Amino acid sequence: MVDVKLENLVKAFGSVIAVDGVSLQISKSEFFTLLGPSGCGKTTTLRMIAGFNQPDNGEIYFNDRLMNYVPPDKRNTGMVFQNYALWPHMSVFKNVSFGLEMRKIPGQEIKERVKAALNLVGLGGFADRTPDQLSGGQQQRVALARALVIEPDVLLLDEPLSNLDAKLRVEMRKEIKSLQKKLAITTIYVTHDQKEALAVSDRLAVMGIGKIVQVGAPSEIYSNPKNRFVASFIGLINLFHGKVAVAKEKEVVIKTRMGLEIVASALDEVNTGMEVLVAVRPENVEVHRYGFTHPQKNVINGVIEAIEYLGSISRYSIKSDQKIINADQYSPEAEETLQLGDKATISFEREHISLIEIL
Amino acid sequence: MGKVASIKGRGSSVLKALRSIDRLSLILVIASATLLFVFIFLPIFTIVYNAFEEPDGGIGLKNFENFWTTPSYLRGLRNSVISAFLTLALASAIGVPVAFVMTRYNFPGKRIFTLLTILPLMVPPFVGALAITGMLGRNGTITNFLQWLFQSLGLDVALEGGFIQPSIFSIVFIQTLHLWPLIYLNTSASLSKIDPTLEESAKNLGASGLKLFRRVTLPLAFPGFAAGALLVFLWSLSDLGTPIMINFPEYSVFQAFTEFIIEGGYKEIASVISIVITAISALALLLVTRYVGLKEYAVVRAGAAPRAIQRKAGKKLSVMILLSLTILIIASVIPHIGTLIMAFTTRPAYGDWIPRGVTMEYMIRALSEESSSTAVANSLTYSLLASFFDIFLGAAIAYLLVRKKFPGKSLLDIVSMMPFAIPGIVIGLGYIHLFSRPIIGNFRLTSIWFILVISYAMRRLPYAVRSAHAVLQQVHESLEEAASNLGATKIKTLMSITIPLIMPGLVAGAVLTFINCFTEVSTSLMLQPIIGPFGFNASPLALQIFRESKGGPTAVRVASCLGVIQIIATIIGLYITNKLLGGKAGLAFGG
Repeated sequence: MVDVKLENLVKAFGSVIAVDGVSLQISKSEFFTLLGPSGCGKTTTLRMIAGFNQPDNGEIYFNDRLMNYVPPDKRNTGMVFQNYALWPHMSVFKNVSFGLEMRKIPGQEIKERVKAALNLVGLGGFADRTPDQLSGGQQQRVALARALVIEPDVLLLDEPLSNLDAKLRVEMRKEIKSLQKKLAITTIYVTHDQKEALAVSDRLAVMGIGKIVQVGAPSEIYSNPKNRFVASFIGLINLFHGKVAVAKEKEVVIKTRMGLEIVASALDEVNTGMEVLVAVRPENVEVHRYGFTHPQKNVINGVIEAIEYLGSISRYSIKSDQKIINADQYSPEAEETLQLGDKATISFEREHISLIEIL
Repeated sequence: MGKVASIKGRGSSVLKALRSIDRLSLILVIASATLLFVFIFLPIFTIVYNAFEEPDGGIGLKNFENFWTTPSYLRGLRNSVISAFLTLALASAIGVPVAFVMTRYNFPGKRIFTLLTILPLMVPPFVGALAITGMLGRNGTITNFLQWLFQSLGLDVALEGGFIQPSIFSIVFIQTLHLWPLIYLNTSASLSKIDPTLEESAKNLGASGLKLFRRVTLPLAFPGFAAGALLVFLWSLSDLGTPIMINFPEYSVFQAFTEFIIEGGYKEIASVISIVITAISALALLLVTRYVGLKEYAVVRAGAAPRAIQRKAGKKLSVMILLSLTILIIASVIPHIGTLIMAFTTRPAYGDWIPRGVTMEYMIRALSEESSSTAVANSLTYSLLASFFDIFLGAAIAYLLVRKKFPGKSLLDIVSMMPFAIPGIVIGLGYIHLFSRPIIGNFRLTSIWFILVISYAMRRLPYAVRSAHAVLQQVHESLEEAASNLGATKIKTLMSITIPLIMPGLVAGAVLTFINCFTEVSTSLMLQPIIGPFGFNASPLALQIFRESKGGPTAVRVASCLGVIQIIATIIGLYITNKLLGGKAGLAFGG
């Protein structure tokens, strides 16, 4: 196992700067995810680690060994491609054994290791099939086995689940995660699906236009997004633009542009006069009958604009002063008497607020 | 900050680009660029230079002046251009309706007709022209039959000279019979690719009938048609075989050939004519690529249309379709039947049309006479070598174009496509100018048979590059990256992943190259090397057929037998490509 260190990586394609100064430190056995919208440079970063793209600037280290000039075939990374890249002219066995043959492993050992790898991904009896005889999920497993069988120093996964249907995607990501834990292999995973990223990662980096925006554990990123980009990219969130009016020891009062006063629990770096975004997740917003008050909570009055039934929850969109605030309520708990067009009051706790400084 | 990389980041962009190519690609770039420069660019350049060389020494426009002021050359040019347009018009008038009917209607016997429609391509045009003359010319079988028919009906019509006179119309007739499938195949490829929903949505919005065809179907099918039209136009313009066979001298390519080949001919005018014809071809190519794009024309597929848009033809329509197709096919197989009659039946008395009997006499002669059997062996050798050569060069260039970035890439693309618009006679002429200078003592490159192999390979190179291009694009780059990721070196990846994946496509392309070289006419008649692979006879089949056809009545029959050998090779080749491409005949004919 190795740790991976990226220092100030830069890569441009013509005049487009795909990766713009990315620095990261990925520990041994860590499951690390690069998350971002398409075109943010996450795949290019991964491809530089694999050696398919040469960085214009910056360094890549595996365990303090500079990798920049090591060709891809000497890096001992195992990559799973978005389209799986299984060779159509080879059987499943041949696909998986290829990397071992390149490493001049003796024939008998190849047989054993391929068999073990195929069993590991649950495809024990499929060695003689060709890729076109497999379903999408099975092809994905072969690609995984092919990458794992060489016992790579780093496992690289490039949007491996994006070609699968929704149900299979959830299943496969669990399997990948448990395999990764079992083998304790350093893993870098690229995806644009925030749910997937939150579910599988030990830590993740959110990327936007070539740069790393925030790095942290999933829970940290979800509850404390660093800026508007991260906040709105990871899940649905309500944002209020405002200015800190009072910053006391235990609480902060923010005056929003709409003239609301929102009270949040004190955070150390907040000063009076600072421009901030108040961020509240919909699941932390409660919907009440019009006129509800509570001394410890923030309350806002509005009109119900839309109610979406989403199964286990219902999502209310409440309009207050031209601003739509989303609130998720567990369906059984939702006040059935509230109808579309009714006046209503929403509330949220001071502790559920995160403040994003606007620079 | 990155110390190592920041140093690397400096330097000119060309240097950086050059450094970013791996060694293998660099070798390929240099090798293919050298070959293209010596065997395509230099010969053309030499012709251009020669066109400006004045007969009394010095450089000037005298030859061009002579061209523009000599009526026979201008008539030749006019005839060439008019017959190219007429052939195009006629071939389109046949090919487009056939394409529409074959892709849009279901009617009884359709499968058989799908097979029959590629028949015309199986007879090499040179041989076809010979057969048509034998059937419809003076004392031809059909001519004599009709004469007999008119006489027995008591009609006083004299078909003295036959129907095939040395005229534009004969040329257009012969070319059209051979070429209309190119329009049909290309147009139907485009038509069958049209997403049915595009037409359905137009219908949904109220378009129907002719309006639907004109506003939606036709524009969508146009790229395919234009590709086919370009092939036909260029083919006709550069055709040397037909005017030679029917002896029609006032035809530009023929004039260039004659002036160059005869003792004391005006050699510089041959260069001028070459430049003029090449310029017209290049203009046509430019016009089409501007509106259609380069990729469309190299590979033509005779695949069936998706089922969804096919309608069952009613009784009346079916009868009409079947009748027209039958007439078309009967006319199209005149060359086939003519060739067979001439090769395998005993010549009747003058003016008679019923063959006196079946015979193998001519075929035995064709195979036992040393001059003709050597020609068969020569052509086999040349074509095999040329297709091998093209597999490698075509694949190498396509690989560079598809997978690599390097300075001069677009130049490589253009030069490798150039032979597409350059008539074979021009290549031949260029080779003679460039390579007929003595190298050591009296030894010239044009004296040895290998020059024919090179000329064949270069003439077919654009098709080889395009077909390799097409198969390579189907091989996703990640398949190669996956191998590299698992520890395979560049060479190893190429050998175990890329080449096995593109092999069927490459071989199919090579078989087509083989067929086209085996039946090649222009450079075969131009370059006449002395030293062959099997002794002092380097004649390829086309040259031998040409010689025999200009001999006595029996020699013409032997020529037809050599034609039969070409037809058999063509059919076998088409069968192999069909198998390799999984039922889709990848036809890349032309020139």
